[in-house]
Amino acid sequence: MKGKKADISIQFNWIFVLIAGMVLLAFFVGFALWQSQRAEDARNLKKSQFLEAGLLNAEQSALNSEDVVRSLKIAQTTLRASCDEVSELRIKDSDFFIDTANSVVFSRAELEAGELFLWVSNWESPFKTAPFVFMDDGSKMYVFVKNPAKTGESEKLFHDFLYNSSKLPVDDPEGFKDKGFGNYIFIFLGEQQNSIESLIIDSSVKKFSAVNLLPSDYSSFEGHGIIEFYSQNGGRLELAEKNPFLLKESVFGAIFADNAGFYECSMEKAVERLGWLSAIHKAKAEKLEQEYQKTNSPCSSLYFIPKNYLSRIGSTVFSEASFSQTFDSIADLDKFNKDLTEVHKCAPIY
Amino acid sequence: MKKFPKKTGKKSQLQMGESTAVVIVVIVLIFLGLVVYYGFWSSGRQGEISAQKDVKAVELGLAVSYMPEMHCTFLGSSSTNCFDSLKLEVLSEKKNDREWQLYYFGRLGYARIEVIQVYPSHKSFLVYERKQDDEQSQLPVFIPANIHDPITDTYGFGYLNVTKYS
Repeated sequence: MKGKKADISIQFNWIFVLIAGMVLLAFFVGFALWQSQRAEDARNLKKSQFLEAGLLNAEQSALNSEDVVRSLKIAQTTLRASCDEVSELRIKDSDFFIDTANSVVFSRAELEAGELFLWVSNWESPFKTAPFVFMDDGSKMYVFVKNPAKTGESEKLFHDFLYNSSKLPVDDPEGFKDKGFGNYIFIFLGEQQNSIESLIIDSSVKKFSAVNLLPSDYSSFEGHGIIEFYSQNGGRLELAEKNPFLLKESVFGAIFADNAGFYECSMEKAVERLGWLSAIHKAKAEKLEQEYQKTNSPCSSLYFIPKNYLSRIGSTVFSEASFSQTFDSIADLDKFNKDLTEVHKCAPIY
Repeated sequence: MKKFPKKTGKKSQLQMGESTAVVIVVIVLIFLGLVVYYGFWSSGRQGEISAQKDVKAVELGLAVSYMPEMHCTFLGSSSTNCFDSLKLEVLSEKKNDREWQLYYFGRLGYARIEVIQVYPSHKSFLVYERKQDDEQSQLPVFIPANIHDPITDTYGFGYLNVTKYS
């Protein structure tokens, strides 16, 4: 009896120690996991703050001067860029993100960034409207296919593409072989859909897509026209969608955008911004007109025509026809604005 | 003969009681440690949030100072920290327009943006204001600026006052 009771007592002691030990162990493991999550959150917060400051700074620098090209070095991170109902640049699998609703960003949907490359260029239509942010992680190669019928324009497009680290001109896309990048985009200028779709891309090139720029008659890639977006279908290219472009910055936007939908979403934001800035410039033109009228200056009669141009620019929508009309108004307004100062010695609108 | 088992039972109970007391004391100590840790963590976090608010206010100030809506331009080229007085007038007049309010609220949030010219004459342009109902704190940022009059092509001197409500 005594031995049995002692045995039971010892067993109880062990059970008690085990339960108490497990509770304590669970507590410390939980605390360690919580601390580890906190450390991860703190790292992600620093990364997102750094990226946000870098993006804002690049946009401001571009607004104040010319194009900005820079790289942001961060610890290896996967970023997800989106432009839809929600526009953001999110650190994958975390609650940390940069709100890009007010920025015009063109990027691939997923960026594996140890270093993030930013090229920011002003969309001047004709006044500074919005800085266009082109974003890449350096894993994509930009292959410019020369068009023998448009040599000068092909070279200019290649030259104006300021993201220098991974661009390459080629004569024949079929002879192009893998150069060690994870992703390739072929950039065609004024090619026929049939000739692009009949190309057979070398099997060493695993992941690729293409855009084909089709400037309108009497225009160039710096003017307006249509962009065809091609996606990969085995070893071939297949037309996915067509969208309009306006000015060369939007062409570069299409090259950097993940797909036609991403491009359209970002361009819609830019077009909305164009509407607001046109309204402000039109109101400024009205004020200039009124001020000059007070002094009976001959300048007062000169702002009627540019106000019409600004109205037309302000009513731009994302369509080929509208972009065509807007491009003409931009050219006319730009010329008129220069003449205001240089010929008539009156205040320019912008 | 019969007393031994009873004593052994009491002894075991006593041992169990001791062990339980030790565990309870350890748990209480851990709990107290956690409370103290949470106190430090919480005050550190408050400091981080406050610093973050400061950064947001400065970022807004800088973003506003480069906005094409206010910036001076001459044939497309812009000058640093310069505001166009006519554009400022336009924005002051439009600031109560419902559509404008909605659009700029999306860009600027709860804030007050005012440009004040101090030389050669005193003028102020309140270009944007949106307050929160339960306003908690105000973080004003001041940025010196030139104010250009396009009619006379002269410059005044003043500052941008951006207040971020949070």
